[in-house]
Amino acid sequence: MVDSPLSRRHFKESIMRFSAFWFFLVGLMACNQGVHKLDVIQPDADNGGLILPDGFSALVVADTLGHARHIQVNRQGDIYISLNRPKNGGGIVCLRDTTNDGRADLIKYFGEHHGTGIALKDDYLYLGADTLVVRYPMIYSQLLPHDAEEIIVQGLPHNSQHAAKPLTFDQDGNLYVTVGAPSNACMEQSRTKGSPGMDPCPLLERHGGIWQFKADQLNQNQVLDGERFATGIRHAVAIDWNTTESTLFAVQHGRDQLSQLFPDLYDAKQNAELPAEEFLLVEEGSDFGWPYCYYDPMQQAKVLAPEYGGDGHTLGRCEDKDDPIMAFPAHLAPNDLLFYTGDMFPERYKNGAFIAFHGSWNRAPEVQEGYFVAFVSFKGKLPSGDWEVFADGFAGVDVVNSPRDAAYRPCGLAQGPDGSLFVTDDVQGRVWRIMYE
Amino acid sequence: MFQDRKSEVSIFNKEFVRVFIISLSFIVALVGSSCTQSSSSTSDQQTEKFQQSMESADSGPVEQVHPGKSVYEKYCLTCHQADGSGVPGMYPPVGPNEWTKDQAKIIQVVLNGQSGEIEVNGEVYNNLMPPHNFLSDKEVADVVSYVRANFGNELPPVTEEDVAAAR
Repeated sequence: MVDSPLSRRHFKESIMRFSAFWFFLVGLMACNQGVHKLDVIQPDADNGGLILPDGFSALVVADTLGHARHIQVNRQGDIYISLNRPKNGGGIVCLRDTTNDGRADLIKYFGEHHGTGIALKDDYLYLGADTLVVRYPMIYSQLLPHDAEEIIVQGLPHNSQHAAKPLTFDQDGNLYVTVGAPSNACMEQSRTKGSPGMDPCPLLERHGGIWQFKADQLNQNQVLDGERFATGIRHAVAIDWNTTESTLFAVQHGRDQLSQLFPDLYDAKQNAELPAEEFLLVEEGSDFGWPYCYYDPMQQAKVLAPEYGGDGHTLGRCEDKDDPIMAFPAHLAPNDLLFYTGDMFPERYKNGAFIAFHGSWNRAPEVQEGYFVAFVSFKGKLPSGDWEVFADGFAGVDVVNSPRDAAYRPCGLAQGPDGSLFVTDDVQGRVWRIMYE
Repeated sequence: MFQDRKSEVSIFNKEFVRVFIISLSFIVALVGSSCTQSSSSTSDQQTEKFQQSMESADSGPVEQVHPGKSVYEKYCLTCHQADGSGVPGMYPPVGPNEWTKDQAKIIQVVLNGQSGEIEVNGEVYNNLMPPHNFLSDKEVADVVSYVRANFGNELPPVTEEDVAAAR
């Protein structure tokens, strides 16, 4: 380069022009941020009744939607919620916020099927109705899916107890569906004192596990096309595929009524604390032991169920069953699981698990527990700390003596495109959006 | 890893207060119902018997409890709850509804159990209640009478003979 006054001046001018451009750009960004600041969603003054850790706030997105179960939020921020019972002619409720204040102002009921499982994948909305899995094509920018439903799985057993068919997907085109057991502990006569446990339990052939199907294959049958991916799971309403670890996780609803059915072995207090609700790392071929075994958190072991000759201590055939990765207090009813991958929450929440506990009924005459959203931090495939209550206050009372005392019961969880956490309630049909700072 | 037990003491206190309040309200209910019962004149034999038992309860020791209470606590409370309110979506309440009102129906449900979808007070339930035919006629009569006199119900009791006839 020739060091001439001319070229030096030219160089200086270039620098100035370049700097001006950057100043302009930075200024533009600052302006833009200013505009965005006006758009920031304001939480409710009372956080919608929730009690949250410092720095978190919440707002009520919608209310009185019906028996709102599981929830999904798409990239545009539209919300899809499965309903336990149809409302206004639909089994799915679709929500949109057209004014950017975080509150849904467009609410539409859709679809002839209802249930618990709901999931979005590749421009389809999947619904786990109680006896089948259907999907609806999503239409870009439109709130309502197309009503040309496709049946993915049909002929799933209709259960009067544990009917919910929650679902999730892996990254290889597989669909996972929980088929709960229509039973407490596979007694010959359900929940009847003195009735023996069936051995082997015939229910395990089509219930009490998680089945794997192809996500895109139509008209699959549970027996012919489905694979029993894992067994010995009484009912796992909370299932989620952890995309970071490429692993399936579930949280089980443990068995009930130990003291009622076996008063000589268990008292009411033991019934209230046994067995643990189990956090499961589910691998192909896992067997978690239901109905033969339950997890005793005090003994930290799978023990033999009294229906199968157990006395509260004997391990027997349960020694080789798969243990949980964490034990939660008994009967809290884990109804959804979500591994958090967003950037909004502080670093410790990243890849950790949120669990919605619907709240207990089977602790009576002891007070009921649960009715909160818990958090478990993770390192890799395992928890890196104890569980903690993340969001509380759903019940609206200090003590829940019977479930009907609770104003709201958390049931479903979803992550929004900005990293907000959405929570549904199936008593009144409220949806909260939890945000950080 | 398991939840702490630090609330045990306060639970004990709450439990004590709860039992005290329940006992108190039961006494008040007894006094109240016996007053209104004695002022009414009905020829219904069952109601008369009911009245007599309530009056004797009033004049007797305060601790006297309905014989159906212990049966309820042992076999019904887990699902139908201490306050009889049931579990939403799972187990129906036993307070005033078309099932508790119908004497024959409620005896049948206790003896033979119940399954399939039912509607109670506008809410749908689809669960299973096991048969309780292993209970004696007296236990069934006691628990049905207890339910029909509590949880907001003000219905006459049923007799052992009613239960025996329904078996």
